[in-house]
Amino acid sequence: MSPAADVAGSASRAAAVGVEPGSSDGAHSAAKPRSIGIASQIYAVLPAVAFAIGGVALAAWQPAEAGAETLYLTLVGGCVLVGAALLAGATSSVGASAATTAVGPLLAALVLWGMPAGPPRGIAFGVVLVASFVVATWRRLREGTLNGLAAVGGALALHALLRADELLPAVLLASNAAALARLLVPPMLAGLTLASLARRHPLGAVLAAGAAAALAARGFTVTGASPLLALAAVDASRVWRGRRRDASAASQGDVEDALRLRATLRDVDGIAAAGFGFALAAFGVVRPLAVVIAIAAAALVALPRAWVWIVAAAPLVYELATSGDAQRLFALAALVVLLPWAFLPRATPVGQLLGAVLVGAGGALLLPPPTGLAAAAAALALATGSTGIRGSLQRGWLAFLIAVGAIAAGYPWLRSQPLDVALGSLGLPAVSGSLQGLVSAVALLAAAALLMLAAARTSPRIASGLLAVGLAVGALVAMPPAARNVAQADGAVVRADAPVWSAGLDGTDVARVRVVSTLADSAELPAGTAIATLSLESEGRPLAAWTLRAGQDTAEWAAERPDLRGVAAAGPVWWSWLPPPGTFFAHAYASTWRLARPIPATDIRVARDPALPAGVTLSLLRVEVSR
Amino acid sequence: MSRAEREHVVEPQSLRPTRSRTGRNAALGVFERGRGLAALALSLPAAWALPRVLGLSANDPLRGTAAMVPLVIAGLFVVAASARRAGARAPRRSVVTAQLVALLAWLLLAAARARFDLPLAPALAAGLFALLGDHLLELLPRLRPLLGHSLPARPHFAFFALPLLAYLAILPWSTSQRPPDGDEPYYLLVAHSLAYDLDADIANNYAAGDSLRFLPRRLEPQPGDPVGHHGELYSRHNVMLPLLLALPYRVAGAHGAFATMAALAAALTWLTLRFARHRFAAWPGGALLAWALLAFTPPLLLYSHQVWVEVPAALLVVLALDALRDLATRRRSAALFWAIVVLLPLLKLRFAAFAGLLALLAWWRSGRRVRGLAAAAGGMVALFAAILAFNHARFGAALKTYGLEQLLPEAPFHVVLARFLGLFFDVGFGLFAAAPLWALLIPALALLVRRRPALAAELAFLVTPYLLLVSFRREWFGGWSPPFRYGLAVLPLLVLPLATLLDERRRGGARLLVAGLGVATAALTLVWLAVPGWTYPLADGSSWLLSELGRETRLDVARFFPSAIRLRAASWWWPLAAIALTAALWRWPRRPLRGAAAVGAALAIAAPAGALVAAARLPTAVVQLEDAQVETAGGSLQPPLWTFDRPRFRGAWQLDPGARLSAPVVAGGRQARVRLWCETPPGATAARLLVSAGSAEAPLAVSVAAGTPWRAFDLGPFDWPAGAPLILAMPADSGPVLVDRAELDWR
Repeated sequence: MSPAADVAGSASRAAAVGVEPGSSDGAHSAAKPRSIGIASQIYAVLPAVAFAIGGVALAAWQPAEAGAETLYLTLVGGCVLVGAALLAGATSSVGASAATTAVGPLLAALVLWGMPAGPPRGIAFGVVLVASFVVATWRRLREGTLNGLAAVGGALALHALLRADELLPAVLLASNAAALARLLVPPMLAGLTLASLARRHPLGAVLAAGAAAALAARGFTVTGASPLLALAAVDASRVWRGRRRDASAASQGDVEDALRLRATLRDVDGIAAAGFGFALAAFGVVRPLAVVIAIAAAALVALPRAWVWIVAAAPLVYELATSGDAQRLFALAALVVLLPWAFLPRATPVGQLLGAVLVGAGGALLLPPPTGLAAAAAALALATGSTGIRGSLQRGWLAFLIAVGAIAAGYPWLRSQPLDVALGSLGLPAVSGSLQGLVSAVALLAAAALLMLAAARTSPRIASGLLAVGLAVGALVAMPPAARNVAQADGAVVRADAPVWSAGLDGTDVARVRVVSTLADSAELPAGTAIATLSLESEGRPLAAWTLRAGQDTAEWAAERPDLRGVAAAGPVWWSWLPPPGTFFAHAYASTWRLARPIPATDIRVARDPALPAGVTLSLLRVEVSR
Repeated sequence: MSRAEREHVVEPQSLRPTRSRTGRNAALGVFERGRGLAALALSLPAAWALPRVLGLSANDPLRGTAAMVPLVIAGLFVVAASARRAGARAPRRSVVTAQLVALLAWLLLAAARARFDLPLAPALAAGLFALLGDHLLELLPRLRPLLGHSLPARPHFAFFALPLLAYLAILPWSTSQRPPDGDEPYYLLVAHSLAYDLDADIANNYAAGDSLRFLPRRLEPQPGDPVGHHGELYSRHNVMLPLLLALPYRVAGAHGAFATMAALAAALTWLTLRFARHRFAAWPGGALLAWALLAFTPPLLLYSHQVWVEVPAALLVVLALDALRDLATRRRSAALFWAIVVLLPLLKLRFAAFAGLLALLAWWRSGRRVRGLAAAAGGMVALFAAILAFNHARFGAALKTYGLEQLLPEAPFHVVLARFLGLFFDVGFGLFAAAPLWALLIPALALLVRRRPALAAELAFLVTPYLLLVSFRREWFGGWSPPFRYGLAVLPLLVLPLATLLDERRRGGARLLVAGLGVATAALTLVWLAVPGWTYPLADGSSWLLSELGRETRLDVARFFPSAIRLRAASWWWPLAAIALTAALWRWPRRPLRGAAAVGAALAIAAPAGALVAAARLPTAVVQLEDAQVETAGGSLQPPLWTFDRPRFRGAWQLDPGARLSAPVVAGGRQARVRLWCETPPGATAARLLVSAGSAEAPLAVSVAAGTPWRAFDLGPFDWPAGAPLILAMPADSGPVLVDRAELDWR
């Protein structure tokens, strides 16, 4: 976009929200339209508020087990739905807007009131919330403007989706004001900064920046919000300085020179801001270094352009020199995974791409992957063109990651790395697994290039369709085969006085066995302790056997309970639920064994390890066999 | 806007293509028809392949629904293209794209559900139907140009095809989750007999278990089914509907019959729109919305594929009324009209009421000549005599299983009035309970009476006698069936007044009302579709929804909702309040209000919470001891749930020795007197019942002598701690006792 066009675009966007760009008088002159807008947005959240009221009432009279879960879902749902309503806003048509914003709360209320308590209700609820958020974002993109209230709502909604595990009402009620502020302030600040950025950048790019930062940092935590805050602050300072120069140049009659000057400033400041934000985010991890980086990054505003790369590369050089853990640099793959279209030729100015990678490298070295990439991802998303087919595909891809990631991050799946789950749903390796993530990055880069090629040869619509169908086919192929549960519907228990459980099979080939189980009274068991032996048999003759181990295949159901946290071995969580009083999530764990070749088994047997302490109980919730 | 003003309104889009565009449009039309045919042809293999690609096994509950997806999409594509050619506006491309993406996501979720064996099929089905509803809402306003300035005599094909596609979309899920029930399987069995044996004797079909083709169980004869002179076993249901279904049944089995019923229901909606042109031609916008309400909301949506006589009856009534306009001028109309008058009682004797009313209306319209009246009356008498004589000759009873006394009023006036109101307001079977948006009938009828009294009288003449006749029956609610079964035959007539009303929907109060009732209707429709079994209430003064809510929260929520089966205060104050509220809201405020729709939607979403709070705060006056919120340990429901014509009896809980009941009670004071209605079962010994307020209080004993009929026992006063339940316990050495209810008098 040319600077002139950028200015025109900013002006038109500013006009659309009723504010004159860069004018303090604008707010005053647009006072009346703004008050109507706020009233409309208040109306838009009424259905979500009604949903929350209903949820609280239901929880109050339900049995304790169901009530704790209902209250939790109400809190998460209330945050997401109110946020989505604000994000969707009352923009073009009040009636249509009300109808749209009522659909999410209505469906959520139906799930909450209509389904029995338990993880299936949590899944349905999560899908409704994610769909509401995606639809609200889509509506906002169609509208083309973003005000502060909408942006704060959207940021809160996304944060609540990705950090649903932190919204336990019983825990929050016992928290102090500082803890609540830590939970609420970063996403609100992130929202405000996104709104600020949207006044000067294309909305698609701003939303992509927000989405990429939130996905990398799993929500708008301090790590996710700081880069955005820094970007917006420096962006605002650039405009301020640009306006001063404009005024000076205009007084000398040289407007073109002023616009050129403003364009060059952007390249410098974007990276500087990202570095500053990254430094803020890293502040809690490596304080002395972060202070140095923060000062250096802040100083970039005043430094000559060539210094940017030196200062941005400083953490990388420093870390490599001091620790030499180059392996962690593989986490940079997450940057490609998040924004594959930014890495295609002619997508991003080379300088900005390099700068973002350098900032990302610093982040990857200092913070756990992919959290450290939030700053780089946000800066890169802003720097990359958001228009045309490239922008559409990029937004579609981020929407997919957010949708799958948010479902994975919410109750009852509770995955701590939703980005990895989203990639896993396509059969791709996890990016937080360092080296393996490169495979994902390469595969996605190749797919992105192919889609761009298809778009150039055919039409953008076909390319978008190919993206959607490709994602669907990928997810379908990556799904495990349909399995048959051979355990009783309410599960089976293996304990000292009933040490063996077995079930008959029909003699068909078995290639895969998956056991979903929990342990009780096992907090003292060290990780790796043998719990039971699982064997496939034919007419009493064992064909294959595996050992079920604590911490690897199963674990204590109450491992998250405050008194057991850090004591009991953690296992591969498959499923969670919320026991009363709702202060921690209980987990069920899954372990899968695959045979080299299918074998015809007539029985499956689980025998408790005789060396196990007498009090330990193994609950087999599901025993699945498939070909 | 007055009607005169309305006739001068210029539509923004011309309906007729100009001459210069005609040639190009024709070429385009041929091309688009070709595309439509190709889409339909492709949808067939896609329907076969899609469930397999998704990995849905043969017994997966969503397999049929997934298979239907390509067919419905192709159908929607063809209908939208056809409508566009006729002048309809195209749906927004961005919205359709978003809906396609959502559909893709749904398919993935369906596949994931099957792979992970998650119990989410009803939720996914509801999600798909919500998506379909969203698409229909997108299409609906864009069809408006098809109706032009004045309703056409031949509405566009889309007004038939869209409902049909919606009905076909829900058919596989509904029939798999709720196999034919009530009278349905008997109609299907007769259709089977007609299709395969070419007779109506179903004795051999019972013996051969032919019902297993469409039911998971063997059918047994219904009580009182007529027996022929040579031992033939007939169904008490008339053979007209099975005759219609025999051929599709023979071709495609029960699903052929269901699809035929869906086509009949879609035809009913199309004909209703066509019929509306006679009196509501100047309100095409309102008529479009009224048509949508009829087509896409319960009860017609629930009955769309079900095998009942009500939909064909409604179709015949609308056809007859349509033909009535040209009765004097067109022979074809006259022939059609009188054929329908004959067909209606043959379809079901109950519909003889319509035949008589239609004949009377024809006489009234044709100049009210005495000779004409005599001819019509003579014809009707001859028809009924012929039917009765045939029944007597064939089945040995003129009225088959019924007696004359069953057709006469058997209940006092207030009960008949409650039943009449219950047809609309009853929490289980009422029209408004099934789809609250139908409550707009109240202001619509008020408006009609005020503005067009003659038309209101005509409608009342056709509708009221039939509904009164139904109200006389103890089984006024339709028996084991979805809501508003008997009223379905007059539903197309009830929808017509809405055409004028909905033209004024932009008023502030009206918008609030429409949004609130619309959201409630959408929610209930999704529930009914997702869990079809919940559309068959138990005739116990509640509904499945309220019973489940009561069981979950241990609150008596149902007491705040009207019932004509179990009369209570709400049976009277609810209709009064609804009439006052809807009529007032529609009129006031007149000016459009910002946020009215959002407020309405929010009120609807928060309404269940309001019901919970009320149930938890307002004092209990009556405890029905067989209700869901009562905790029971021992004993049994009496009479048993599947007792034939169960409303004949008092619903009660039988407390056996050692049994215990705990009923949640909201205290309305510190003390209460309790009146218990008890009976000892036939042949049982004397009973001694212990009654207390909470488990901490000392119980009072009630002695019920052997052979005691229903009678009240007064106890107390009890000191009643807040939150204490009413506890009834039977000592182990006592005889059993039936307890109907407890009435609490607070001090």
